[in-house]
Amino acid sequence: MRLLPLVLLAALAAPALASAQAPSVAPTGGLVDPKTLRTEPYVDFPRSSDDAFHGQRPLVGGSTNEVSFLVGNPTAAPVAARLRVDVFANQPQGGGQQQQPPPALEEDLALPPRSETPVFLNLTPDAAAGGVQVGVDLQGTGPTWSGRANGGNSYAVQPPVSVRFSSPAPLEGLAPVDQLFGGGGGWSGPLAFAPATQPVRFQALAQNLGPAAVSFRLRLASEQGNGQQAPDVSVASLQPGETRAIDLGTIDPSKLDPEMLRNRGTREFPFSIQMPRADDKPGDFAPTAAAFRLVEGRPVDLAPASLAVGFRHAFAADAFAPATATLGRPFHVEVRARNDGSADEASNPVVVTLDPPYNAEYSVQGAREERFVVSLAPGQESRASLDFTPRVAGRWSLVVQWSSADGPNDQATSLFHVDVPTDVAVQVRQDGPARLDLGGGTRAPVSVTALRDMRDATLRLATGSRLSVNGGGDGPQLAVRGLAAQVVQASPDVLPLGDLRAGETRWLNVTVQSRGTGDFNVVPYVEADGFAYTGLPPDSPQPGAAATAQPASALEVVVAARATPAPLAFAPLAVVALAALAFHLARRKVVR
Amino acid sequence: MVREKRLPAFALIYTALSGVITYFVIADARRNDAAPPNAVAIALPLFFLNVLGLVLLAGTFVLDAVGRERDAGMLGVLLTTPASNSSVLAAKAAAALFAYLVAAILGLASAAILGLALGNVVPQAVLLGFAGPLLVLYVFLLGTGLLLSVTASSARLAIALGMGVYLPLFLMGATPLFASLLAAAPAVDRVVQYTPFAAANKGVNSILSGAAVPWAEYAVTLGLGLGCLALAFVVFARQEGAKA
Repeated sequence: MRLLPLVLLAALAAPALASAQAPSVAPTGGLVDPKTLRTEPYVDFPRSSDDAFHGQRPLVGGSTNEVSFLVGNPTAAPVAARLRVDVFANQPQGGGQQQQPPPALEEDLALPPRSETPVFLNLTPDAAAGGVQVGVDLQGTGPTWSGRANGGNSYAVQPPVSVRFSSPAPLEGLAPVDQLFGGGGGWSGPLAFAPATQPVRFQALAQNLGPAAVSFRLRLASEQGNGQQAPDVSVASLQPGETRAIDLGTIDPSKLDPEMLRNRGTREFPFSIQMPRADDKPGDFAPTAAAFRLVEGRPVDLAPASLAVGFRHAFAADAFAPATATLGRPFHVEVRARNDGSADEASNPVVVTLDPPYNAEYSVQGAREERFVVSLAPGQESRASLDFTPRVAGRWSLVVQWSSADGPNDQATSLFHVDVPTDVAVQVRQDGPARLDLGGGTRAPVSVTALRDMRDATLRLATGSRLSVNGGGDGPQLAVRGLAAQVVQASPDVLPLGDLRAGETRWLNVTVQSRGTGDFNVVPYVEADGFAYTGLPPDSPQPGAAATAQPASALEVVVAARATPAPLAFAPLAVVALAALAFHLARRKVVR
Repeated sequence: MVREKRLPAFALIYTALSGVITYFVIADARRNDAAPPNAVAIALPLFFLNVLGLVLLAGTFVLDAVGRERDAGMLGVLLTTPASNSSVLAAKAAAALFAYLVAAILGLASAAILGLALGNVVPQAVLLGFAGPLLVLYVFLLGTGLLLSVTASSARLAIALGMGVYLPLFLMGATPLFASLLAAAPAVDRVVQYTPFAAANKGVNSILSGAAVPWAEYAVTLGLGLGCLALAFVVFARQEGAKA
């Protein structure tokens, strides 16, 4: 794929939008996602960069913000097109839009076949702007395509104030939560815990990074349940460089969900700090405030001012581990159990299992389980720890199971994960899980790319069942061997790859045969130097955000049950009844 | 054997219970087409059913094997025949093993129906269960049952004693009911791991999930069962020999 150099400066003199400059366009190539089924050139504002903000990433007023979009050509022929980008500034106080003459960008493009070309645009909105809209128009100018494609996106503008939660205090070192027993999970932002039985006070720190004093409003909002909001809080005259602690109000957990107090374990609710505009009323949509740093006038490390709070019930245990660990080096897991109830918790068993990627057993390592017994008075916390050395690269699950004193069935499980960076990229060409009939099979092309030089590498396949928290007494089915690992059989079992150079890709077809029902993973992995390398799964999206289409690193197979009449279950009973009758009659005849 | 009514009764109860479980599993699998049940996970409730079936079998055919004959006044009649004392007890043991075979066939029949819907891995799991951990457990039930039957003064007492031993062992070894208590007393927990139902539980786990085969626990359970069986023969020979 050839490079398309294009840099264009656009100076904008409007009062609400100081400038929109230095756009750059360069194709990166790659196959167009077959799931989109697009046949004509298109303009896309990918949401992946905005996911943390639910697609509403704000721009920082008075700073240079980079925004980007994609121009795609899914056809097999090069396409000539004219690109026009218009930037509109929303006036503050609901004053409508103002179009910026001239266009921020107008350029002829030559789009290579089957390419996606990112276009970068620098915007410097005025801090007082209500928002910015970017409109993109792509007009075909060549013989291969003469159509038109449009796209656009709108951005909120926030004053140069960095906002983040300070209370409840976000926890450092907690591995990302996959799933908490009571509910929630998939949250990659900061997490804090609080008792479910009493109102929780929220506080934020706001720092003015701009050159002038600013006044603004903040609003605490729950993003789940009934969307409870606290009243807006006005922050007056925050001076340049000043950091101020702001009381956002209290939220009563029991009002978030009527089931809250009846639940067990820990239940997670995400909250955000919104920055309503002056004319917004309570309940109106308001953009999420951001925490950021300014480096040379550009906002960096932009993150939403959001926090997930795990409301703990009487007794809960959580695993504290690093979000990432290094292959072959030990990492430390601390298990913290806490009694937020009002009665003693005595001799509660806590089981922590380090479950290998995709809940499968690998040739170099399997699951490791540690058991603890915890007794706690109300308000007490206990800590236990273990060290673990991963020999499998990929996403490990930290499964924490516990029982509380409420009864033998009061068992709960929470899942956390620890990523061990891998040196292999695995891509499975699969549009969703393969649904198989019982006894049926499927094939899927798999590519394995070495990210560094590897000697004497071997490709292997592992199978595991899908890991989930069922909430029942037995807990999840963790990585296992035995019959459980043979319900689906994948081939080739072992494939020597020899020496692999960095960047070298090998393709193979994986065949899967089903012997029983269920939801399974077939995991291609590379074994080299005594370690196993799986591909990292596509990141889980934030709650409420659209999932991004990333290739899977494991083949998911769902084997459906064979349609069998349920009354057939009583066939043995019928046979036994007939035999018993015959036996009875024979006995009467013979014994007499 | 021809006069025996308890075996058909046991078979009817067992197949009715397993039929109900199988019915609901198949109906559930048909309903939840999008999220079919894990075929191997289904084998676990079947294991519990089979363990309970074995306890019922022991209560029906083993615990009252001698006491029932004694209560009915048939033991003396039996011992007047040319058959030796040990032959009488061996015949009881053989009948109990035959009942185990019948239970295994019935268990496999239900598993085969389930296998039609969920895959042949289900009957495979049940077959391996009956060939391994459940057989070891049954040897224990057979040995202790015959010993209690020989030593107890009546069949009812033997059954009461037997159930009084088996049920706590079952609850401790094969269910999580006492998990909290056992967790607080690791020494007791280690001992419980060697009890027969815990050994069978571990054995099933080794089949289903590839955990280590509990050879030591199997050995303890088999040793207990065979030891009690041998003791039952000795006690029975002394008791009936002295009477003769």
